[in-house]
Amino acid sequence: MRDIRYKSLYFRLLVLAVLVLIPPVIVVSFLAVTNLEAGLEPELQIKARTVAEELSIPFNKALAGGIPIDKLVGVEDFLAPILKGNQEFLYLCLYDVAGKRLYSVGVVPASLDKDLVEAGKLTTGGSVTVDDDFDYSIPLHAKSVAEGTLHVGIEGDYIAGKIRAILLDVGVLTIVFFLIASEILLYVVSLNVSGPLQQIVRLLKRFAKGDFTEQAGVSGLDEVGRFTKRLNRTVRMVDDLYRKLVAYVEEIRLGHFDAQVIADVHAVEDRVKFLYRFSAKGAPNVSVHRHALDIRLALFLFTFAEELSRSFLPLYVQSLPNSMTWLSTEMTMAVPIASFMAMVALFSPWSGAIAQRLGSRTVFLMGLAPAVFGFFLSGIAQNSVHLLIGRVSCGLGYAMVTMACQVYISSTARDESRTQSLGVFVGAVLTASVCGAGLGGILAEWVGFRSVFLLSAVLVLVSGLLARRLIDQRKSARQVRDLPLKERLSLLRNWRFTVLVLFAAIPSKIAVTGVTFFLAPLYLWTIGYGYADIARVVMLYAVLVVILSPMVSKLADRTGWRLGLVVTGGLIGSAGLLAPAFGGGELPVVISMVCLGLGNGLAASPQLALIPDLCWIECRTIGQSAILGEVRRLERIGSTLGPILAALLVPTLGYGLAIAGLGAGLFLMSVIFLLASFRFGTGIHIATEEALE
Amino acid sequence: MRYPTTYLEGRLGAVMGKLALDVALLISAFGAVAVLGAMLLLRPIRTRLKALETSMVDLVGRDEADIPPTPDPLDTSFEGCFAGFEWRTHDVVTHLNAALAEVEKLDRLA
Repeated sequence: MRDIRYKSLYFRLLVLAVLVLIPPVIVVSFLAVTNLEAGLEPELQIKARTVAEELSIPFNKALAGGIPIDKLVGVEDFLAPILKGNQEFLYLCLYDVAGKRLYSVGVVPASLDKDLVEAGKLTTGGSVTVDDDFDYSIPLHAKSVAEGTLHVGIEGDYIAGKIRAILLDVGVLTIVFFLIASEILLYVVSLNVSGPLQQIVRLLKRFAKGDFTEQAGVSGLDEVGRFTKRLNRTVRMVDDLYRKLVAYVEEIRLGHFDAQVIADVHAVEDRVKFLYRFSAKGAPNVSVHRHALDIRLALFLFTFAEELSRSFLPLYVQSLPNSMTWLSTEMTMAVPIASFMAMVALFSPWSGAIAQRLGSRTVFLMGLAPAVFGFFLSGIAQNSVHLLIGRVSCGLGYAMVTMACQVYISSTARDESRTQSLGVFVGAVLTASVCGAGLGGILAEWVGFRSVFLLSAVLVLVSGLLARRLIDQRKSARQVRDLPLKERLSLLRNWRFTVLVLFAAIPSKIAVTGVTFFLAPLYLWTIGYGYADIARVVMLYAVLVVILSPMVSKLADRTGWRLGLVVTGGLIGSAGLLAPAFGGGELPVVISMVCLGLGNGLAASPQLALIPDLCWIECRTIGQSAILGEVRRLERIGSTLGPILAALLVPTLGYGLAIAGLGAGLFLMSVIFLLASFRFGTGIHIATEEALE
Repeated sequence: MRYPTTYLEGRLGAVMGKLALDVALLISAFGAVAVLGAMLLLRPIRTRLKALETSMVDLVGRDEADIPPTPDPLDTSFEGCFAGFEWRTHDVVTHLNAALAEVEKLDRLA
């Protein structure tokens, strides 16, 4: 194959990146886990002995003072805080020399009494393995006479649990860094290889047709740069030859006395102009080719920065002093999330309009100011109001930057590659959501909430540096106009459109923001999960959507089964949310996240693809892009409502049942959508047919 | 599971720090291999570009009789496009030189 296959090149470089990234992670993880396992067990035993020795001092004093061991008062109250402060301890207890357990806190294994008697440790103390757990005891004395023993029980699964958590963290980090590496690689290949070469091919095709009006605007010291310089030099030499001819003809025209000669030389010039094209500006124009991939890494970094706080935001609000005392605790936690979504919904149309007027690069850079301010304020927030202002500011920045990117991508795309180019936008946002959700929780656990927000501010600035090199365009020919109220109402009069928005699009967003961003993190926190664990569960949703969306998009195009996929996705997603009604713990939330990911992965792309089928007439009168923009705007009502509805349910139902309650409502809406879909009919002509009835 | 704020956290932190350092060192070592690999992967493209760059050196000043091979209009590969450019450049240079000569001749004849 003689052609340069950029995808193949990118894929091979990606395989190389995997080979570079994965083996060290596996080797180092294996070594670290082995060392940790070997090193941590003796450390635990040392800790158990130290704690037992420290605790025995007051008991020995009491016994030396003449208080019998079975008459000690408030022992459990004394031991309880020690147990609570050391999560690897299963229990703390006191035995007398006869083997009778006198006092205990925590869960003491049933076989401990028997095992201690058999091991003969009731007067001497020492260590005993009980089931899979470990018991360390120390004798208690009254004037050198053994009165009993103090026992510290250590959970046998503690080390294994720690190692499991570390391995999961390493796994998440590997996935996240692999995705980040692939984004950077895609950008580097596009910037240095595929982008310039595509531009050169485009120009070579023009030159081959005799059009020498442009030269390549590619710089660089590599092979591509040198090739381009040589190509440009050749084109300029041809252009110089042409200018020489034009100058000679002009000289004759101005100075020659014979009109016939002037006419003849003009004929020669006209013949050349007829056969070839040269720039009218006196030199070849510098051609600059814009590509959708130019903006992808900047967009990825910006959305990644935003997604970093996704899995712990309500927990951060919870940790701050509440300045909005007129709101319930839950509502205080929900309002920052809802406000961010509301700002995005409100300012997206305006941002799109100014991006078309001022240029994407300008609006992207303008959007950085509120975003950086928002992240910085969120990072240093002293109360919930500070955080709320920070989130509102971030929402404004997010609307400006994402709309600037959409306008840029839309303006670079030719009609036939519009879907492919918008895939660049969706791909970057989805990849960022996986990376942000996963890494954010781990970072919050390692460095704290505030540092994560400050890191987000830095990432946003880096995205701005990348966006600076974009080429601005103004007054794009392909403007997506904002719908006037009259057209908006006419759209809502199409009952199929209204049903799709009300019972499919909005509910799916309610579920995402209400459960994934709000209820799930809070619920997992209340049952004792850490930030990294919460992030892993929340990440499941994003991973499934990333995997399923492209596949489902192709499936829907091939089979045309869009409506079925929307219905199935809605039912699966909402039914999964009912899981917490049947039991507590982590598993029901995991089931909810998986079902929600499956549901949205199945329904998201077909929902938009369904629009031309359901709004056949409106797509021709209003325009498909404008209608799709309207769907996205209406969807954001769901994104804003999600956390608010969830917060309203929590005081009466609690976190777990609130997920189920929200799920029940959304399931009902999915069933209504299913029933309504039977009346949708088939084919793109349905609206016309109804109009004729 | 939450990491406890105890003595063990310190131990875990030390282990994680060492882990991060080891990963960084190993990735650096593998990074050198990756750079070599990437250079190998890009080598065919670089070689082809160099060859085409060399063929452009005397394109404008080339002898008129030294006509480049006729390009295949259906060949949309990089080399196919380049062949079209090479042929057309020779064509336009020939035409422009001929036009200049003709203009000069008309100027002198008068």
